[in-house]
Amino acid sequence: MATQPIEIDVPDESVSTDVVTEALNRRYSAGFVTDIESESLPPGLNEGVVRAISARKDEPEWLTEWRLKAYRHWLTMTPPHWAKLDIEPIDFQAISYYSQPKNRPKSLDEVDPKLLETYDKLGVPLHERARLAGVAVDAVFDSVSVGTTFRKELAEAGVIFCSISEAVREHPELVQKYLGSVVPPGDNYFAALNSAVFSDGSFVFVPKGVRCPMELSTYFRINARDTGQFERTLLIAEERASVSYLEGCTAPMRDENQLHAAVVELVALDDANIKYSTVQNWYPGDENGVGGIYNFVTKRGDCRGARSKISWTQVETGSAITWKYPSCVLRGDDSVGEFNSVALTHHRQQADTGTKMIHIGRNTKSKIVSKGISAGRGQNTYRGLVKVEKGAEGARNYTQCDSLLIGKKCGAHTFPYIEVKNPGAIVEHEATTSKISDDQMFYCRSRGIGEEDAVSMIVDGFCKQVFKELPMEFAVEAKKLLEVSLEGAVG
Amino acid sequence: MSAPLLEEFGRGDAREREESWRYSKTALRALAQQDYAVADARAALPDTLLEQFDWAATRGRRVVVVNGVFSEAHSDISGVGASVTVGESAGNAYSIRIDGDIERPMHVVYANVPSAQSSRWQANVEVTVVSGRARVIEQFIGAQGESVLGSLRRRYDLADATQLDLVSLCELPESVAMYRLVEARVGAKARLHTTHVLLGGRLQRLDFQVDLAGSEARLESRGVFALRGRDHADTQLDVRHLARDTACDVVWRGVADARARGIFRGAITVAQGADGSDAKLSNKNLLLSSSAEIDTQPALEIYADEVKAAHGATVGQIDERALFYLRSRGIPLAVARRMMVTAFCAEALAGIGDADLRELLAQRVQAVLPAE
Repeated sequence: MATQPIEIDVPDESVSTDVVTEALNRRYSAGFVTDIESESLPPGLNEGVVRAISARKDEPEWLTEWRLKAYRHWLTMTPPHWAKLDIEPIDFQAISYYSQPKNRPKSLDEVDPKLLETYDKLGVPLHERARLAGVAVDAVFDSVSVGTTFRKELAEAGVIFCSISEAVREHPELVQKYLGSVVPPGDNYFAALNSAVFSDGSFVFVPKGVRCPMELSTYFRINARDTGQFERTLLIAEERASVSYLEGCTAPMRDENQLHAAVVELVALDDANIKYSTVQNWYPGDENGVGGIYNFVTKRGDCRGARSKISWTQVETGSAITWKYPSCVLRGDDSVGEFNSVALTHHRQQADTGTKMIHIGRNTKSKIVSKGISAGRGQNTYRGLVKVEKGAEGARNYTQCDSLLIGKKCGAHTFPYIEVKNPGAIVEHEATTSKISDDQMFYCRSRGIGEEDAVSMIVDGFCKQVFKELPMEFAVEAKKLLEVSLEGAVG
Repeated sequence: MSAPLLEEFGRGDAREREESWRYSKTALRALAQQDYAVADARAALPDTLLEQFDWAATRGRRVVVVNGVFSEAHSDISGVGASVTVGESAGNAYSIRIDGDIERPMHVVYANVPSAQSSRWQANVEVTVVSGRARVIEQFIGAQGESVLGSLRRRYDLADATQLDLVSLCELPESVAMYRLVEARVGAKARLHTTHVLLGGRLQRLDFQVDLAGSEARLESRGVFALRGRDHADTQLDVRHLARDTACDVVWRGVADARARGIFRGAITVAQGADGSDAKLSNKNLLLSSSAEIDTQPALEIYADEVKAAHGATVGQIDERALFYLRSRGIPLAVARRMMVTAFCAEALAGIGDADLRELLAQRVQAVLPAE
């Protein structure tokens, strides 16, 4: 009894109309490959490759050593296996760890028009549109930043927003002070790999008392073949500073699985406020689970200062496999952590995502709202840890995670871990799993609302709590993304 | 890691065992440090133990197992009637077969009696309910002394349309550790109602796995742990909905005081095809001391879509406003606290139909709560 697999064969009773079939077979609309030459390192990873990456970026000695140390540590580690994911073994020697578009442009005007076209197709408000949308964009194309806008406006406010390579050159003291201070190089398998070979990413520094005058945003894209991309993002908000950072991504269609292992570190000092929003729409693979991005990300925020606040909001609809737990270390007294998430898996997508809230300081508070939607053969897992340390007197957590199932072959799973060592803490967890009820559908249909519209209305309502946390332009994008992703998933 | 014990206790591959022992690794490692002799089956029961299980209400239907071995001297099955068959086979394996309604409960006692050195025992028990409605009370007791490690595997098989009410009281001194694996299979339209009470123990581990195998099978699981001193109790409940229209309702409460550690994991799986399943789990815990720890993990794994599943878990302390209310009515603080904790635990005992038994369990729980 203990070992037999629990699966019962049942005929698939879900309604299958032409609309459903068509929608289920929809092609990934952002799936195209931009044909520009890339200059990549040959596949493989060894100390030489790590040194080569560092050399190409003209990095100082300490950073090269830092990378090598991470690489040596990585060699001693094994890939994590605890997630509820079915991952084909990854051949880390088959990946090229560095690629960049040739002819590095000096400014936006010099940017390869094909590249701009790519952003155009994706609707990135880079050029003129960036100005209109009031968004500063630091676009990472493969591994090197190709354009940064609004730098001047930000500089006037004292905000540093640049690529991490630039930051290493121009603000080495800041990078050296904070890099790896939230996610140590040996933190986990993929963070160690990233620390060794990180290509580029964004660096944000908001000095004391400054409220960042605009939303900051980065669009990531994975492009050249067989290239893993390893962004490193470092965001620091000093005392009383406040910043909202947006991140969105999409990748072109291809057959090989692509590895993406990013690290994001946030540091909030006294009274600082960081809001970090993500819309992730990477190529999820086709309906048979071929191809798609492996998205293994380590994101962590450190509420170092008293009364600081870090808020994560994510909408995850893409990637073949998502392994991601944006976390908050609530070190400062009265600090606040938030996590709002919508994760959608369709076809054969798998997601194991959630958060960690580590309460260390007194009167720390955290709130978790997670909405999972599973359709097709998708497997969606919420995995979260709420840990209240001994000294976290008056700590408070509220967690709500809801799952919505669409179809007979998908799965929705919830694995919350609650560890409490302080008797003055209050921790609450609630979870529900259900499908769209026939009553809800009937009500909508009886009001003359079509089936598709009804589903998207109900799903929208299901996710509303999270969407309202997103900056407005992202909320619109996220809502649309979900609609497209779910079209016809319900008969 | 204490490999041999880990190998022995739990199920699945090494990784799953490692994960399920996540919070009790250290406690298990400490147990593995000792060498154990085979526990003495003919050890005399001290009077204190005899008193604990000699209940007037169950005389004539009592099975006593001492250190894993059936004790002729203490058992009394003169009044079990034709519907109950008690069997024994080699290797400390016992079977109880129930065919037809039994009015009064069967009382099965497992006693841990220490020897001059650390000792351990193991046993297997199978309970089959072929027809009708059955009631079973399990009682685990132990005497203070040298370490005893007991491990007991039990199987409960409920045929279609049967019913079993199981009450399990495990009250151990700090020198006794117990591993209990309970595997239950519930057939179509059958109903299993369980109430577990976990008190004391150096390490109490309860692995409780229920397969709702037939359509409309139903589980109601109630449980409470109240821990003090250095008690360590770890419950791993796995409910698997394998057929259509199955239901489970799980209510567990936990209290940890002093340096105690309480762990509860309640996992509900709804397999593909188990449509119409309805799963509910509630786990609430009170942490009474800054040196105690509570770890809870309510997990859901859902592979069907025609499903209602919900779980909730909390860890907190006694409601200050309620305490204030009681004190404003002239009730001293200590008494008020005790009232609150008692009421908190009582929720898990409310499902027991037999008022005397419910009262007895409530008293046992109260006895370990902080004194007035």
